[in-house]
Formats: sequence, structure tokens, C-alpha cells
Amino acid sequence: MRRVAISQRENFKERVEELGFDFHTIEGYPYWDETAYYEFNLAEIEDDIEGPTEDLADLCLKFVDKAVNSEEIMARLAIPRPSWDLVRQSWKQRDPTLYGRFDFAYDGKGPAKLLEYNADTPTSLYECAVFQWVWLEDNLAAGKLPKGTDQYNSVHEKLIAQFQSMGKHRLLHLACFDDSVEDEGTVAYIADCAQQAGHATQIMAVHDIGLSPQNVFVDMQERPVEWMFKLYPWEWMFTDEFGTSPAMSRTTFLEPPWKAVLSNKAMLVYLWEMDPGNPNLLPAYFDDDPRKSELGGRFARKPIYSREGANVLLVDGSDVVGRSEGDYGEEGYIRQALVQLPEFEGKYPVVGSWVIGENIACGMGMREDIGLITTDESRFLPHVISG
Amino acid sequence: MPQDYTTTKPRAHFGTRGVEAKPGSAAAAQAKRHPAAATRDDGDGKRSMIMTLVAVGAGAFGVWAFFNSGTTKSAHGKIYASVDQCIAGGVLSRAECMARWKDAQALHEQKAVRYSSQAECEKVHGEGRCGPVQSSRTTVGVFFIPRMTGYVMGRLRNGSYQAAPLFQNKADGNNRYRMTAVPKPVSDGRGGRMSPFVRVSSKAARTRGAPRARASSTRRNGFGRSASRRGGAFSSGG
Repeated sequence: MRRVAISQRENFKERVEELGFDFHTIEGYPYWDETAYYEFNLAEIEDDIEGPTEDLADLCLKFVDKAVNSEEIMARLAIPRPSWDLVRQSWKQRDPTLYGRFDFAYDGKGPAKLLEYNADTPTSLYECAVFQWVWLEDNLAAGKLPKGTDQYNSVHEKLIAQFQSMGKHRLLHLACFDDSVEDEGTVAYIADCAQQAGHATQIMAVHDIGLSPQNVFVDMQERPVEWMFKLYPWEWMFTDEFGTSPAMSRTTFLEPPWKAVLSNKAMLVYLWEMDPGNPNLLPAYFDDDPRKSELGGRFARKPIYSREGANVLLVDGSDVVGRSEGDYGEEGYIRQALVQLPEFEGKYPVVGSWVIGENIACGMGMREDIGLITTDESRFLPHVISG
Repeated sequence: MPQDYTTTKPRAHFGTRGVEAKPGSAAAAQAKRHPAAATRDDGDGKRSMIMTLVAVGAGAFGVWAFFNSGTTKSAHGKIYASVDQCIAGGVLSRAECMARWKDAQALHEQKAVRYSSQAECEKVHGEGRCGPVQSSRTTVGVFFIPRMTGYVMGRLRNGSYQAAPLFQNKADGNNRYRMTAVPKPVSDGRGGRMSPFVRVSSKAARTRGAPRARASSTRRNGFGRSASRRGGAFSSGG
């Protein structure tokens, strides 16, 4: 694994326009960075990323089954009790899942270590599935990458296939906040995949979801919303006014309610408990568990619910090596063994490994930051598999 | 976007379908049976109705009153099936009619329901009522949406207009429309936002004597509150 400098494509600006990649720069900060790429060999991808991703996905499914049958675990996961039945029913029915993204610390030298699992509203999908692929093709065509160079990336095809497996010619509603360019871009891309799978799509704003007097969700044309993709987290849905309506169990959601069991960091504690010593897992405990002393003085303290690296504290002995602000933490914290993110040219990369469906590993996106906590100011870089 | 889809002139088959509802016709009878439906007589005797009322704003929903401003110089609530009709209406200038069509068309393309094939789209909206849009997000992607078949004007406090795009379903007759989306409010130049597409209290509607829209008891804004309670960092993603 190494980081290689490369020049930006000459047709970069045109590509961005053509592909509608409006969020290549976010609030003035460059987000997509093609002045360098990460290079891996095939063994690193297959043995250290792809294989472990599928194994961990299976372990997560085992955990979901355990959790929905345990009131103690459901309470620890901070899922509100009124929503427990919705979550249980969703798992019993085995509601289909579209995707998730595992974040790993990996340096090419040892096993990848799971930092967290974005199981509900993972981002960076479009840049991974499409934009970095186009980058690869453009650079191959221009001879800037050697012939035979590949990329760990079949996300686009797998997304479409997953939508095909969910039925024929259905109407999919997609909801997000209508004032986030990034969220709208992600949703538009997912709608695109659903269309290519033969479905009709209707994009709408989260706050426009209506509840009819018959307790059915409806859109702005009063059409029933039977199947909805939401770029809006379960922990917020549960506490919203409509989150406990009878309409909830009449709607099929992507991601399904059972994913809420996996979309919080408390599950890291349980994975370690279920499979201690797993080389791809980091020891983790609840912050109020005395066993946390086993981590010694080297740990990352993270809120059970948080986004984009907020409210994280990294401690190494007597040094605080990282700290981020935010508004999260009221549901409690976990402590995870501190892992040193590898450094490449002053940058700290994190591997985002994509799972489509329950356990199909099919792609990867690299993000890096100048600090040790990956925040929303991180950059996305392309990668290749050397031929 | 394919050239023939973005057009300011109605295509031939729309023109012939835009038959005026003469008094005593089915459309006029329909309007009589449902006096609470939002109707607009745009002066040619044609009564057009917006089937689905898109309500914006906090609180209870569904009542949208079209004000009869009392003068012929307001296009508020007027439905035009084309730029030409808007111009013929004599309220907005040619440039404004064209600009509002362009804005409404852009909003329509963004917000309309999307189908993966012309056939699927026409099943819902009727033959000839669908057109392709090029998806820009992948290297291979065309989807189909119902054509914008008109726009409805909303007059802002400062006298200018916003327009909302309209489309139709198969079962909708010539003069029945559905609204694709409501345009976002615009700045009033004083740090505030204004929109003509807001809920009007039923009291105000009665006092102004305008025809009242059929009320819907659908509640909205039941999702999204938890996010704003967080303040701080915004994107829903992780």
C-alpha cells in the first residue's frame, strides 16, 4: 500500500459538470482530491479488506439476531422502547438492506482494524461508485496509469442488482433534507440506480412526508409512500413525531429498522464480546464498564451516536492526541482501543469498505484527513489495484 | 436534455387537447359539483383546476386560497398551459413568461416522479405525456418524467411572480392539473423570505370571498425535527 502523486486530469472540470458532481468542493473546502491516489496490490484487497468485510458483515447479522431478542441489549443501544417492536418485526421479516460502509484503519502491513460501521446513512457513495471509476478510466486512457491497473469497485453494478432483487417496477420514494447539496447528490444517485433497475422514483424532502388520516405516509401529491429510501438516521426517526405512528410498520424502509441495531457504536462493544481476539476488531467497552481499564491509557472515547467524527476524544497515556467538538453524547459513550492511523505524507487515511445487501463486499473508498479523526472536512482520494 | 422536450410552444397534440370548457360542458359541471375545489377562470372561459394542493409552511395544511384580487391586472393563481398563453394573459411580459417557464421547468425536472421507461410513465400519465431526461449522474442513464403541461403563477408581495410546474395523470382531463413542487421562497431584500405558495387561513379566505380549496387533513413536518434540535453539524450522513 502506498500513496502516489499524480496530476489532476485535464478534463476534470468538464467531468464534474457532466457527471453532476456538485459537491466536489464543500463550503469552499476541496473534498475530492485527485492530486494523489492510493495503490494496493491484489492480496491486500482480497485478503485484508474484501474477505474481512464479508466476515464482519456476517458477524453483524449474528449480533442483530442476538440483540432483537434481548431487552438488555436493546436498552444499551439506546433505541427507544416504543420502537423495539418495529425493529424486531423488521428483522423477523428479514427486510432487505441496500448498503453499509465499514471504516477501517489499515496500513498494508497488518490486519485492517474496524473503527466503526456506518450501517444506516453511509455517505461518499457516489464518489466511490462512479466518480473514482471514471477517474480510473480517464487516466488509463491518457496513459497516466499503466495498462492493467484496476480498482476495487463494483459498487454501481451491485447497487442496481440489489434494487432488481427488490421487485419489479415499484415506486421508490427517496427522502432527504432539501438544503444539503451533498445529501441531494447522494439521493439523486441512488434514485438513478433504482431507475436503472426498472423502478420509478420520487425524490422528496424529509419534512414533506405526510401522514394521512388513515395512518399512511403520503407524498406531496398525496400518493401513498409504501417504499422509502431515507437519507435520515433511525435514531432521529424514532424520536420524531411520526416515528411512532402505525404508518411506520406499513412502510418498507431502506435502510430497514433492524439496521438501527448496527448503526450505533455500542455494537462495537458487543462484536468484541462475541468474538474477542478477532484480528479485525478492536477491544471495546462501555464507558461505565470497569473492564475498560484493560485498554490501559490508550483509547478512543466515542459517543454511541455521533456523526462525522464529532465528540471524539483520543487519549494516549497522558496525552490527548485528538479531540473533536460536537453536540452528541447524551446516550452514553464507548471506549475502543486506540489504533494508530497510518501516516502517508502527513495524511491519515481511512479505508471505507462497502457492503451491498447483507454481506456482499464490493468496493472501497479512501478518505484522509490531516488529523487523526476523520471529520466532514476530510478528503476523498481515488485508489488503484496495481496490475 | 433532448431539444424537442424543452419547448415554449405547446406541441401540436397539446394544442388540440386544450379545448375550452364551454358552459354546460363536463368540466364546467364538474366545477359546479365541487365548488370548494380550487378553480380559476383565466378569462377564456376555460376552467382549470389543480387537483393536488401542495401546501407549504408550518402548522396545519391543505387550504390554499386563490385570491381574486379584484383587478384584471393580477395573474395570481392563474394557470397557463404554455408561455404563449401566459403572454396572451396580458399580465406578465414576454420575458417574464419565458423566465418563469424556464424556472418551473427546471424545478419540474428536479422534482417530478421518474420512471425507467416511457411505457411505465405513460401507464400513469397517459400517452404522449412523457419525455426523457438525461441523467447526469452516471455515464449511462436516461429516465422518463411526465411532461410539464403548464404552470401556475403566484404573486409575491413585491408584485413579481413565482411559478409552480404542473403535470397531469392519465385520468386527469384537459383542464385538471397536478403540481410537481412548490418553488422555494425568495428573499424579500429585507432578510426575510416570501412565497406566494403559502397556506392562507380559512378566515382570510372567507373574508376575501375567494373560492376555497378542498381541504386535506394530511399532516406534515412530522419528520426532521430531531435534526434541528441538534443544532450543530448538519449532514445526515456518517
